[in-house]
Amino acid sequence: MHHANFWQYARSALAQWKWQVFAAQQPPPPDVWLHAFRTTDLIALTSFSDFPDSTYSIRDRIIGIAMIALGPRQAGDPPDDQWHTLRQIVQHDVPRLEPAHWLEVVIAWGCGWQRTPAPHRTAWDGAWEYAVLALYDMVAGSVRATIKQILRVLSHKFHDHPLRPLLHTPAHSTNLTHLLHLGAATDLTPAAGELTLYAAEITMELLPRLVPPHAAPPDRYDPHQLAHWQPAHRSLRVFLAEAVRGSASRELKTNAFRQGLLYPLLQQDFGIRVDTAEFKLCHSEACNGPLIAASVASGSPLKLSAVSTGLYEGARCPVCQTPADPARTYHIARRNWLLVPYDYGGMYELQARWHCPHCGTLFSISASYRQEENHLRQIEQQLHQLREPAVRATILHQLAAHYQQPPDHTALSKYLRHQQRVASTRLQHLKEAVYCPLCQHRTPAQRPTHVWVLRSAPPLEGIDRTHDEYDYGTDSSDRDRGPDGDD
Amino acid sequence: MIEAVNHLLRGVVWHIPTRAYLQHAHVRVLCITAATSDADTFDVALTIRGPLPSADPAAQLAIALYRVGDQQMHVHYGRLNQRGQLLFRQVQAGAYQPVCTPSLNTEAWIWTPPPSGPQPLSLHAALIPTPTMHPRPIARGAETDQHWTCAYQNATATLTATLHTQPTGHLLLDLEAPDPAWDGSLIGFVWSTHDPATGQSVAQLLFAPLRWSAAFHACTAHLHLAGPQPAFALSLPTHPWPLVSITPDLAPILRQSVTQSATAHTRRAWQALAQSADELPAELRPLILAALQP
Repeated sequence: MHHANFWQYARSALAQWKWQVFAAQQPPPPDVWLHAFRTTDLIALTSFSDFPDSTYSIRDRIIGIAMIALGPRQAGDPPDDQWHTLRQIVQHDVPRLEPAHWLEVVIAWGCGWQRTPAPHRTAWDGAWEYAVLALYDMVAGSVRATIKQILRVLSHKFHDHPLRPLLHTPAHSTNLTHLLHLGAATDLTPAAGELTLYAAEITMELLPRLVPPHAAPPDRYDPHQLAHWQPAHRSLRVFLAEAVRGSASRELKTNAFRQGLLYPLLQQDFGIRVDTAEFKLCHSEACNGPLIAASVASGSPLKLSAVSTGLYEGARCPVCQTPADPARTYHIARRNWLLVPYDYGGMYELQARWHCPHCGTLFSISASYRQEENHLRQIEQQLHQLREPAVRATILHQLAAHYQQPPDHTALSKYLRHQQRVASTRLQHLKEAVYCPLCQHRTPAQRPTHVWVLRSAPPLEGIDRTHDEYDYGTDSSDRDRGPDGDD
Repeated sequence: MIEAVNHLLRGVVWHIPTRAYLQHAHVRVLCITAATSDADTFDVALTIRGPLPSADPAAQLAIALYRVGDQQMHVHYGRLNQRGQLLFRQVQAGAYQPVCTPSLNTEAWIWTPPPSGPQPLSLHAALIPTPTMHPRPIARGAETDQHWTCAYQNATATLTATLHTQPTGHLLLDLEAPDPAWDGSLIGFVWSTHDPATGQSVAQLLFAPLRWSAAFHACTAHLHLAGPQPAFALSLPTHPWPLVSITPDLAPILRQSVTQSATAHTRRAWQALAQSADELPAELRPLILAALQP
């Protein structure tokens, strides 16, 4: 079947559309018209040329115009096999009248989806430059949306005044405050440098893997690869949002966010992490006093789902202003909490806690235990060092300078092992003498639990958040999913 | 990897702010531009993917952007980070030719004027968006067509190096350590030059003795460095070079370092080192003193 006339119609439609939209800017820069093309009314676009109505459907016309717009510029008409394959895919997977999704199929196809692009950048069987750039634009929109979601959750949890990160930021700063600044500044278009890098990195991850010559293809399954997109199940926008942050929801789903491609980049550069944090349940009668009392009496740990008020971090209940009391306030671990460690400018630090198996509360580890544990670590470190010949020689040399009859290596090792046994025994005794401050039950020996704890900080003006505002949790439902905007 | 990237980039001209994507065989290059607060300039983000794992030596590659068809030569230069990415800031709109070069395994880059012609030159070092980069530029002096200065610090901020252009075209390197404990110590640093046109890189170890200067209230040393070079890099140490590890096979480097002393203060420091440092091998002392002779 000869389609030469059809491609002329498609080219004519695209040219006339450009002329009408960018009359004052001819020829329009590719980036400008490409962005407009993705968001234009594609059905109206088909009317810019006199397609023979009886031969080509609206879907065929839109696919054809999209191929001309996104494909290589100097490679002639699209080959018949690609044209037929794309039509079949769209007809089968997106049968409804959804021009935007038809365009997404063409974008993905141009990036190498459902085919193996040849290494020629100017041919139809290679990867199409404009298709990759269109994919990048979609990824960048999702990255920006994710950063804004993170901002909404994290913006007040920093060393300084919460608004400071959004103000006076050095132009070349590469710290977290700079990132937040960029995310908050919605008037920055199209994107600022760092976000551009993240979007570019993720775009590269999505494209088909490059396999070096004579090398086996990677066997690692990556669900975020563009190759795994199924247009019949979800739109490309939703697929990309899930690739970026694990979920297409408009609210950040932290557990899903950890599975996204953006998370490891932000964790590496800015320390952002999703982990278990410690929360307090207010013990006052007006808040959770009865709940805590029932839990202590019955020996059944409290669940977060049973708590409706008085859940907080910090020193004081935001509802009734009752200060936290280590002997009465219930401490509970909350998983999948988005946080920034203190070392990275955030307000969280990792602390060890005991867990009461009776009432379920977390409570602090005593100073004597920590001291003994540090002592044991030092001994183990010395024993480890003693196994290194160079370090061993230095230690023995130092001992020889201080003692008339310095110990040899065997004696020193024996001595340290003895010390290790003594410290371990002492630590075990301390573990067995731990009592829960709430229910007074003795807890069996256990390994400490590590949770992230919000450091005490001066009260922040205008910030008085209750647990309701933190409710961005880990629900798996994505019913409220929606595509990310481009800006 | 370099050959593959340059093969892909051969003949390519990027018209900033237009974006670009290139793919050939087993290498991909994505060039994205972003508007900055300055309406006339753009941030340019490069992402390069090749056959090698990202932990291997994509990080050792560097990319230079030469502005094409402009009487004012603009060069933007930077090293790829471990993800194979690089961000050029505040690039003016125009046509640029990208070139991939090997990194000199140093931490910072600045550009010097090309040897021919007094043409105005624009120099831009691209900052890699990673938290640590040493030595880091701490100050940039006034720049004119012919003269500029630039200061760097080592990773521990204990040693400062200031580079000046001289009327002769050579470079003057001032080393300065405020801590009196560095008095009498020997500094070993790597001076690297790179010619993008030929792709040749030369890294040279040099020594400089630090001596307390009442005028600067710091331990200082001053050296001449050959110039101008198309590109050069400086790698600063965090600790003095242990004198006990100076062996006779370092004699040519020592002689070269002594002859590059720029001030009497530094020559006196060499003299004191040769006369009083017991750790130096005996055969090296006359060599240093001989090199001090005019």
